[in-house]
Amino acid sequence: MSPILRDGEAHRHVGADCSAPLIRLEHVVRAYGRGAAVVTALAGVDLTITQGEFVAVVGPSGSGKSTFLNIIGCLDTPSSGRYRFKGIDTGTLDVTGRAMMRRSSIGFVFQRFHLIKRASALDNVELPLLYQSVPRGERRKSATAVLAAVGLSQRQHHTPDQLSGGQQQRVAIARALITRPDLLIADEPTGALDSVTGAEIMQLLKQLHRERGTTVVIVTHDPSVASQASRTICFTDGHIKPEHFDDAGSRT
Amino acid sequence: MMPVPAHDILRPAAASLQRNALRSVLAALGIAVGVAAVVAMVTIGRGSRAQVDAQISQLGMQLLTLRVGQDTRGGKGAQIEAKPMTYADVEAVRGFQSELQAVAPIASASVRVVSRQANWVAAVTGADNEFFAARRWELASGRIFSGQEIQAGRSVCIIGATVHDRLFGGGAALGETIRVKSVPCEVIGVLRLRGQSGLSQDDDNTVVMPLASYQRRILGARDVQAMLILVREGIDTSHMKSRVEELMRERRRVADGQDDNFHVLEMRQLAETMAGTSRTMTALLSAIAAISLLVGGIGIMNIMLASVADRTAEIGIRLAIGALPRQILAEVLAEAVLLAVAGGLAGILAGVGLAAAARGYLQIPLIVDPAIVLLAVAVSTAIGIVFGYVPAAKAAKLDPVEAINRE
Repeated sequence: MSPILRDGEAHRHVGADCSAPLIRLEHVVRAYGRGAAVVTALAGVDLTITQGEFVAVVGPSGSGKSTFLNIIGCLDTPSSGRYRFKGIDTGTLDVTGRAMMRRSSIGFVFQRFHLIKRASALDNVELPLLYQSVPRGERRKSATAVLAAVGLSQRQHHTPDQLSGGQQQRVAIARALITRPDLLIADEPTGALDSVTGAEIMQLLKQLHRERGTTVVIVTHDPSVASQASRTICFTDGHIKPEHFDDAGSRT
Repeated sequence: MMPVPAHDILRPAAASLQRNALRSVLAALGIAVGVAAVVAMVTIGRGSRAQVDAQISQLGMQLLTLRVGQDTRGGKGAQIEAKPMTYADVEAVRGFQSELQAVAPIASASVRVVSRQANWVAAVTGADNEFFAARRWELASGRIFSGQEIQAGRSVCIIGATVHDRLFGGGAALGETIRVKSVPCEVIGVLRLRGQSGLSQDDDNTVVMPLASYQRRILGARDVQAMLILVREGIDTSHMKSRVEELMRERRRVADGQDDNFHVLEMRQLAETMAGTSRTMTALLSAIAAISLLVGGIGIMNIMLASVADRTAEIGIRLAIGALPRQILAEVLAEAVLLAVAGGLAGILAGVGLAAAARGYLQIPLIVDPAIVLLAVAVSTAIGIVFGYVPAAKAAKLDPVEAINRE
């Protein structure tokens, strides 16, 4: 494993340089199955996302959005092509190497929250630190702080079934942020929430992006969510449609 | 990377077992039964072995018993007509005086004995004072025979503790007269309590009188039925057995190639035979224990597979948010080991309990060997690791993307 993975802290704030590419996909293909039954989820994707971007990924079901997220989140690997994350060719990483990359640099937020049901909010949030062997006292401190940052100080000891959907998603966001990741991946984070709560969650994500400079990649079906991103990537049939940028976009 | 501290692994493992309490108990039951069986068997085995050892050491490992007739133990040898020994044979064996500590001629039979209060059937033995030396038997009260009593064959006797109880209710017996098959006989001594020996009937149910008086008044013949031969410490009993056999063949004119019409029983050999029997038993019981532990291990594997299947989505989440595969492996293994060790500990308690209960029936001491307790814990741990490994590896190999969506 590379030394960079051992020490996520030292490299985490490289993000100050907004032009450094965090994510770089070169001709990435991801195909499932074999022979006649082969399904191509990603058919040669080229893409660069720089530090600090807030990217919305849109497209119909089965267009390759989820596969794309899995690959940039180091949960899956390309069938061919190359994916560089923080300059590291993830094709050189084994299962453990990818897990190390995830734990140090990537936070996940899922549509269905995916919290551990019997654990309290605090226990859920500190779980990533447990696997990094952070002592219990320190874990508690960090988790308390992050829960406060997502506005859940009063709900620390509640279990997921004692929390509303929006509150559960806040816990999930706190869990994703506790390791101070370079990249926050959110797979339809408002998909299971009503529009008011969804808007609140979007506000929270935008606020965290603004305050912490975390790069955010968010998959959504909701045009109003996508419109809040600084950049929108649209998938169809495993390809990225030519990009368009909103007024705030820095590229032409 | 630092490993996750043990308590961070064990606490959730314990919590997980608690949540599925019934399932956990059932899974651990197999191990518990296996371990209980082993611990009980070994503990009972230890106890009975200690008792046999104690009995043998009481009788003495250096003891040889010479009897007329063939050794019929184990069904071998035929009951053949064998002429009895005489006192001349005793004198001849006593010729090995530098190797032998005591040679006691005996003749005995079950005879009714009667006191003023009661009557009872006891083993009545005619012997001389060497008998007490050969059997390492001391008097609780009174005295042994005088030389004159032996020479003249006086009607005096020394009684065992059981006879003392039955005829005198344990009260004053010295100087009293009992009738041994109608022969009046003065009690001059009481033997020390020997306790149940297991090798023979009740050792304490005995009356000893001078050989000459027994021969004349009870037996009606001058036969010597057997000799107790105590070999001196440091002298090989097998060697002495051969020499006695050789001597007796000569004296009894047994031709070469002809079967002996007497036999010599070696206490050491008897002890080794018993030890051998207990080794065979141990091996057999170990095999049974191994099978029950195997079944217990499979039970644990089964329950852990079910547990991993139940928690597939949760394991997927853990992997996605930064658990390494080997950490998941450790978590599942910890749960399996905890389950197995809990079963093992319950088994140890149950096993010792069984042995303690058996102690009453078998009249053996309760000896809990710390080694078997440690072994049981070690074996349980090993079972947890071996049978937990497959489910643990299965959990560690889960694909987080697939696992997380299986809810």
